[in-house]
Amino acid sequence: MEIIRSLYSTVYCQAHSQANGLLLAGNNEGKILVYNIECLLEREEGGGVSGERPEGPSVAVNASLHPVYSMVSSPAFAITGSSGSLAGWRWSDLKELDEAVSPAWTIALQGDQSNFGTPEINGLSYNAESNLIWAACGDWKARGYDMETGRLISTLDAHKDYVHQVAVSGSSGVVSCGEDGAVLVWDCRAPRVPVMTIVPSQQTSLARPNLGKFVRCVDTAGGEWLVCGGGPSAGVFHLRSGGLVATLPPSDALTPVTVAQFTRQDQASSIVTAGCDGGGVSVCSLSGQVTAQLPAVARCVYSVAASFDKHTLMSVAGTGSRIDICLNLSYRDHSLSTVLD
Amino acid sequence: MSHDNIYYSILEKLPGCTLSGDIGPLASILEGKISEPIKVCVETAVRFYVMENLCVGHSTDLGKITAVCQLTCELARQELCLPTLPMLVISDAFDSLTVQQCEKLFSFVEANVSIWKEPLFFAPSKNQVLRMCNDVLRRLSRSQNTIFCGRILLFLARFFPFSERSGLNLISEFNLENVTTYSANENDDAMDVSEVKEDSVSEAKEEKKDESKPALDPTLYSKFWALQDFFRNPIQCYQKEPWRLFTSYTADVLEAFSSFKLESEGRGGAEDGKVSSAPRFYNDVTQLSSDADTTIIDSLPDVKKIDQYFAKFLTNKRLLELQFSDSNFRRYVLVQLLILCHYLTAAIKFKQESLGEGETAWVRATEEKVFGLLMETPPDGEEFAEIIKKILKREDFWNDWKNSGCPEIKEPAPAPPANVHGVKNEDDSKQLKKGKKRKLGDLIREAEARKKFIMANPEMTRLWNLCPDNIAATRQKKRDFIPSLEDYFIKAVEQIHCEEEPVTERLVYDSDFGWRGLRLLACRSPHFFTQSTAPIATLPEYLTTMIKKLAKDIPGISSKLQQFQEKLESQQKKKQEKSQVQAENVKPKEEEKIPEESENCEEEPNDDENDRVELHPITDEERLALATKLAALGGDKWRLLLTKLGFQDDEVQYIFDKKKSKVQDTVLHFLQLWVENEAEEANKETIVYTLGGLKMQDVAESVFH
Repeated sequence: MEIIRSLYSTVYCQAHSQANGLLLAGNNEGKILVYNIECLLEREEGGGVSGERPEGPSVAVNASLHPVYSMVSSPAFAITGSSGSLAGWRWSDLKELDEAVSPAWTIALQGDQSNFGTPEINGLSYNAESNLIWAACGDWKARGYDMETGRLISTLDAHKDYVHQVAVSGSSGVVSCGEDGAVLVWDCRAPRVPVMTIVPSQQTSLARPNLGKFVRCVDTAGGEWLVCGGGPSAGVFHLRSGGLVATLPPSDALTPVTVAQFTRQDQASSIVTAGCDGGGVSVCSLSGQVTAQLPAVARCVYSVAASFDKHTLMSVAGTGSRIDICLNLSYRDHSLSTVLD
Repeated sequence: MSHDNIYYSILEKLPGCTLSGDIGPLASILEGKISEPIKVCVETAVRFYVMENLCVGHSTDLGKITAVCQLTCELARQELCLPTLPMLVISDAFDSLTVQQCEKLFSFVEANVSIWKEPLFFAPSKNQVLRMCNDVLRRLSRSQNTIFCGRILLFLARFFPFSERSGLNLISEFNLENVTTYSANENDDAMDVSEVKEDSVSEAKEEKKDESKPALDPTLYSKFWALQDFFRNPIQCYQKEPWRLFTSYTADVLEAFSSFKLESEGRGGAEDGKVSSAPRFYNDVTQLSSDADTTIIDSLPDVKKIDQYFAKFLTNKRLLELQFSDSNFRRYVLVQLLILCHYLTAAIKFKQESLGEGETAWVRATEEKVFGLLMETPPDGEEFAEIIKKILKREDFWNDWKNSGCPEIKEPAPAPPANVHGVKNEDDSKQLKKGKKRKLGDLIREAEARKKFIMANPEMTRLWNLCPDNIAATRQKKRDFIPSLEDYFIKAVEQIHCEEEPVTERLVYDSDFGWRGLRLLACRSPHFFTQSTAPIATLPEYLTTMIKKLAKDIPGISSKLQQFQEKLESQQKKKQEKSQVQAENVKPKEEEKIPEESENCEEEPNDDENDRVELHPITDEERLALATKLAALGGDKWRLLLTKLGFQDDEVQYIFDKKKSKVQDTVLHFLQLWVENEAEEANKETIVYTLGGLKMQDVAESVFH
């Protein structure tokens, strides 16, 4: 039974907090796996880790009856999104490594129940400047909540299908992508209509009609660059002009892009992309030059989290029961189990 | 003279002799009384002199030492001292000099390697040379005096014969002293730390068992450098536990290499030829100091750019990141891995252990993976991988040679000399043909013995061997294309003799004819070289005089001329008109004309010469009529005519038989032939004339009216 569970285990999302020495992973059982990664942050001169590495999660916290689809970290909270609700978990609570920890707050989505049932939250993004949390919802909308009050601030409603992911850019910029194949750039001060619409499937160098037009992932960096991918190949766009800058791997015609994101939000230094074919994770430059091809245990990678607060740390997760840990952006160091002993 | 006296007098004379380079005074001391003790005495004296007077620290005059050495060489040649003396002098000097001075003095040793290799010196002093070189080597630091070390090794390689065993690592020992140390944390896995320190492997294992904690996953850094220990001592890999570590470390390192892509210098932003400024540290691969020690660096395509050598790896943790992004470093490590893999699977006599099936498969898979990585490591990865493959292949030959006990290497034995007896030779070649393919060299040698040639294909060979001697071939009669004087000049002679012809149309006025004529005269006629008092005015005039001379000389020409004149006369008679024979037209073009054409010409008004001979070809009807007449005449009259027309009796008979003895057909046949052969000459007039000669005018008249 345990073996079967581990085989069918899937991690959808991850969050790092180097300040608290924690790595969180949300899985398909509605649990948050909490890893103590203090030791990975005590680096030696060469960037290696001297001490013992964690083998598996310290504790698994029950977060929802539904899978934990999305997760984002703010300085004080880890915010998880599942079906119908958002939950905020205080890092200090999680640090106790206690299974019985409960969320500091929850927000229920006010969705149109008659049409969509309970909408799931596919993606979360946190804007530290405006202290807003953005949720990409299954009811074709992206919602912005004020972290302070938990009130719904604005609703971005222009997608023609469910929203896959949402990303923030600067203090007021928001980018969302969805199953309808559109990448919408918003100014949340005027949330009625998107500022710009990019349709990657209309770019001849990106389009892969056999896979569809959906855009699974979107990310921005430096307020200038946007990367997205899904059915169409992953590509880098200039955020203001909407022009295509580069095409990224995976370059074969049969691999849907599941992850395309910048490693850092503040500067467009490198991009991480991954697909569904077991080809691992590609780290590329802004021009599409592959600098590293990392193997991943997960055949289909759903989540790549990178943090640079104290040291470089990148974790790769997806299907299967291992999370790959990289101590830099060049090669894999080791992998963690997602099964609690 | 007592030995003491000899000793002292040598010491006395030696400085002078050294300066002059003359051994005369020394030889005079010894007075030809040479015995073994005296030689030893000489040796002692010279060595004492060198040690006491010449080797004086920094101010040593190396020139004097080399002079003494040369002097002793001369003495040894005169058998006035032992042949070991020169080397003893040199090695004494090496023992007492500084490394810098040694380096200078060594160039003298290098320069005179031919002297040391002389039979007189080689056998007695070879051990001394070896000892001396090893002593110097021991004093040197391999990293500081790399070049000097290399020079010494090269000298030894030149000095000893190729198959000298003393330089070989016969039993495939490993240089276990070449330990790569790297900083390992005390808290870290005891295994790795102890391994790289000089503890033995077994001790490390015990230690590990004592702690009985699960093998932790060491960082890439320690995994990476721990691999060097396997390269240092590959025997470890045959033990179970080290093998497990080795495979896991290798897999991790290779994974890191394959994930960490290197940018080639030409790629990315460096399209303008800007060379990437990636730092280049490191080093060599002399980890396996055994037979596997190949100098890969030399074969690097880009070695000119980065001709760097480091005796040891730099293992600082901070460098690892840079090292991983350095393609050269990556190559070193990958090649080390290949060498190890090669060793593990190679057949080596002194290797007791061997790998299991699964382990061998792993080695093969790893080799493949490493070659894949080498190929994708810029710059020129694929080329580099190919070179390495070839070098590793060479290792197999080396191993074979060592496994078979290092047999002396000889030049390939010359093939057995070609057999003198032709018959036997053929037998041999038959045998060989049945057996395997013969060597090309043998074939050529055999062919040469028979003065034949062998070409690329049989047809060429056949053609070439028609006449193997090319010069002889050119001397063959049928290759002589120069016409005889007679043939060439006959027409010109005729023209000169029948004075009616216009002078300017004569052949001699044709410049082509003239030039060829001169060449021919030069080849064939003595007249060409006779001195003539008359200066040569023009070529035609000269030729005319020459031709006249020739006409007198050559019977062929004169007789033909006579015939011709006879013919001319008879024709003149026949036509009863002022005849002017223009038997042959001046221009060769006209000569070639067929009778029909000349008939046409006939009708044209001859503008400058209206008295041109009218020639009438024989028509078919006339020929038939003539043949019928002749047949009717009966007898052998027809044969006479045919003979006159220039046909041989036997051919006439042959055709006659063939035509079933029908005279008419035979005559017709030959007339046809005659017309074909003679063209213009075969005209009515000729045949009438001929018939007249045969007293058959009536026949002629009846046919030709």
